[in-house]
Amino acid sequence: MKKSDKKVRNYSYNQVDINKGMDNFKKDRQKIIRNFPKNCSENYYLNNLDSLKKEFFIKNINKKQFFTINELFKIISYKKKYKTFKKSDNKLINFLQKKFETKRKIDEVYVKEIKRKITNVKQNRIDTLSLLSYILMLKFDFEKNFSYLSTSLKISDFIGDNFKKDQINASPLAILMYLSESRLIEKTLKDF
Amino acid sequence: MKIVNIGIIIHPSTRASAYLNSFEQLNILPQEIIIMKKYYAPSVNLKREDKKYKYSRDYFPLNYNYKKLASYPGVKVYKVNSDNINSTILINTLKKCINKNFIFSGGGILQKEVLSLNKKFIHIHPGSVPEFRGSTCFYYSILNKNKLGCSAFYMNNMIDHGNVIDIFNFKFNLQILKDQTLFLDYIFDPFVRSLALKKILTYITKGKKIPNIAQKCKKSLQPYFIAHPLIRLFCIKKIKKNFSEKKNYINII
Repeated sequence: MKKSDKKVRNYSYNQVDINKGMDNFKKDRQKIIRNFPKNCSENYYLNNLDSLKKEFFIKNINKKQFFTINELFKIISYKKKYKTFKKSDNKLINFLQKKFETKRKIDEVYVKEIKRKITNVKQNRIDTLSLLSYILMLKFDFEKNFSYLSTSLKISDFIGDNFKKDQINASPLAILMYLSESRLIEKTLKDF
Repeated sequence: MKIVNIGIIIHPSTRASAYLNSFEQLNILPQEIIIMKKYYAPSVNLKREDKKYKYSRDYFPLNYNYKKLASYPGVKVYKVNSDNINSTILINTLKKCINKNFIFSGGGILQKEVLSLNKKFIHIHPGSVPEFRGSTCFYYSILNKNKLGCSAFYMNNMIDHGNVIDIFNFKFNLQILKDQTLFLDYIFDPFVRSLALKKILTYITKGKKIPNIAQKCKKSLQPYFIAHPLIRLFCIKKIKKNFSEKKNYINII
């Protein structure tokens, strides 16, 4: 995605529509979800995460750098196996959350110390953004820290604003993310 | 009105009106007042809500009469044509001021030049530091911990990392109705801060030394980022769910 093409919402002091805000949000998301392939479900994609991991995994030949999508898949695998997050994974999630919140961009590759970025790398790929948003939802569900849900929602807004329907429908990770979000919002609403 | 040795920088916002109301409630006024850009005037929508829900009566006057401030003997009012805390015009005005402590009411993150003026800027942040740093913290604090806190600290070059004066916790019971869309950001938030400011100002009125305690900062604590509108809606739902009595209140514990 070209930097100039990027649509970025301003969330500062928006007037909150207490009456219709939740319904409007759900309607907007339904506009995206209703285009998804028929009979697709969150469980289908979750059961196929291992094959998706193989499909998206990028072979890394430079030990000083890492591919964001690879690390995100590793986080999911660990969470699935041990039902928790590693300390180092939390560090990476927080780093990526901050990157998205402050710059509205996630690079495909970072140097390992994550203090320096690499120039001329691809940014904001739909699959990487979707996976990050999905992990932030897992973090929210695990810790009940609404900061993770807030960023996750902003990423899914960003995807909806910046990618075409065809691109979203062609990304199994974006579909998984939107379906999970829909379920999580309903679940959270029940708590209130 | 007694004039106290402190200054205030008025950013055009409801927060500044709430702060000045705290001074008045203590029968005091700051010795130096810097008014940024223009006198604050509430929006049409906020005026409408105010009329219906009596915000000005129950919380603080939204149409604060800034012009009257210059009429008080002993109060020096400066008007600067900028709403940026780091602007040259504001820096030059601050250089002319005799007070060391200034209440900050908004206008950006302080940069090196302002911080090197040998002045101290007191910020009232709607969250208990170090846990709740960053933006729209009261939403997160209510949602994550079912608590509301406010911290008063001296500002430095890092966001919400300055030395702490005091931290306050609040108890509240609020019924937020469907058309009170501006209440949390424009009334509740500044009102809570103004209650904390009132407590801080009593250090001055009672001639006590203002505390100055370094924060214990953990690197692993991530700051909070501006809340998504849906998060705000969840917060409103939680406040409504917690509403238990007929009377609304917001009190420091």
